[in-house]
Amino acid sequence: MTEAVQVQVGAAKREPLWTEFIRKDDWWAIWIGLGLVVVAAGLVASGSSLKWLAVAPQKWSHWPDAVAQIRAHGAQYLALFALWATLFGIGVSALGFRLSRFLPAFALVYVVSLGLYVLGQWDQASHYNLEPPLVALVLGLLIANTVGVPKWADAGLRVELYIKTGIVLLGASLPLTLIAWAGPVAIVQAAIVSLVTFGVIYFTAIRLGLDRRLAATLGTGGAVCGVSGAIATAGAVGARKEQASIAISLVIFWAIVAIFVLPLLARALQLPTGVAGAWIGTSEFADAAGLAAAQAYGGYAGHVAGITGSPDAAVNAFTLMKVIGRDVWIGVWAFVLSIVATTRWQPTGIQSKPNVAEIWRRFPKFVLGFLIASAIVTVISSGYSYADYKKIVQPSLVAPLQALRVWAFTFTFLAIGLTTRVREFITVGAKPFYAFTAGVVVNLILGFVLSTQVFVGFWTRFGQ
Amino acid sequence: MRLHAARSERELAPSCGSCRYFCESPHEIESQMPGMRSLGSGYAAVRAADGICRRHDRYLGAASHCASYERRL
Repeated sequence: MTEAVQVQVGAAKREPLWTEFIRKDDWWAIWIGLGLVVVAAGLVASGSSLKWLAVAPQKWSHWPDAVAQIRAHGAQYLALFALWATLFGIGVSALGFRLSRFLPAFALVYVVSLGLYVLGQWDQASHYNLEPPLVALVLGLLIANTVGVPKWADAGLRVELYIKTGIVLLGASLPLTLIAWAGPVAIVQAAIVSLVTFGVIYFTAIRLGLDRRLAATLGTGGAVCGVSGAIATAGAVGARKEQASIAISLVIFWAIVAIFVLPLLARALQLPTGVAGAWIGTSEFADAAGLAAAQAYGGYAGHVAGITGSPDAAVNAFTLMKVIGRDVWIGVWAFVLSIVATTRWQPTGIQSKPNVAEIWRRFPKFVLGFLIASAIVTVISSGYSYADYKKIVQPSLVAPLQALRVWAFTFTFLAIGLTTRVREFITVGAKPFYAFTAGVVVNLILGFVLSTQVFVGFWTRFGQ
Repeated sequence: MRLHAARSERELAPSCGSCRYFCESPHEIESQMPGMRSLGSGYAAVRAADGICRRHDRYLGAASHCASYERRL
């Protein structure tokens, strides 16, 4: 075949650019999350509120009180299910899943999440360490790894869609001014830890004789943003498929260990919520896992002696550190590593040309939704006095969106457990395990020192 | 004009994105990479248009290319 003919038959069938907006879960998180923020803001402007729909269990002491509470608000819980099922149903259908598979799976997720939410409002929950994120995770892990979860249920267990929607909604309770104030510190702290952790994993892996592409994939998985970091780098450097799988398995293993260990350590040290959130944001490996740990720790505030700060501060500090400090840089990491791979590493027989546009293509777009949600609520709030903000904006706009965010996070934590099937993990081998674990140890220690010593004053103030 | 020519050339390039060995289906990628659904997603923006090359068993970008290219029918 001549070159000319070869070129012609090889014409790439490119999808129109707009399909990106319906084929990626980042964009669906923006449509759903921002849609809710805009509707909530519109209702407040017209003198109404999303409060009725954004129902959430209240504190209870005795089981009959909890049951009575659910019965009294039964219609609201059903309406809320219909809302979530419709919004997420549209999203997963556009992603290619069957609605007939999504609905029953999501109904189960919703009912169990309601139970977990109610459990978390028990006034003795903290005493027995029954933090909803951790209980959701353990319950999900137990089910997935004992009785099992049918394959069709995957349509309703979209961890990333739920967590990204929750993060967009979280933007509505974080003023843009606070993000602008704390963002630079988060970026500096996260950059220090990311660079050091990547270096430790990468050079340990090389010293152990591992392939450079595997070393880089492991490095960004541990240093930047977990599975997303590993998969973005694997694609950018052209790693072998099993190398990407090794990195994914190691990220999940250590991320789940950290979900339980980080809150326990922080609790033992009685860290303020803002400081603990910053540490978790620096040292956890995945957004969903870190939010489980941060939300669990935030639940200790006011319930466990010695833990100061507001309950939301742990989640807020985590999000700034992880999302603004680490996640948004994944495109840059992938681009730089693709240059190194094509110019310095042993060729694989596959050519690729680094393209700076990859930085935007790989940008985690849901972050835009998080920032826009923050900007919308900040602009609305600026039109009210502090007294009116507390009387109108907080209860009518921010509180319902916060309740919806907790729901989205609870779906996430349960879905993590239900999709983590230990027997599916591949055997990673000792050398990748040692290299990644070296990074985990350095990451934990450095994250702790930066959060509790170097920037402790800043994160303590942030949490108040 | 030059811009149009450059775009046409790029679109006609025999890259992995149009190769029969290249799989970019998010569902398939999630199935072939155990654990990806758990704390990640085949539908995430960070994945761009990467996919699995069944010929070389590698995970790579759709704009890559190699001598084994065969057009997807």
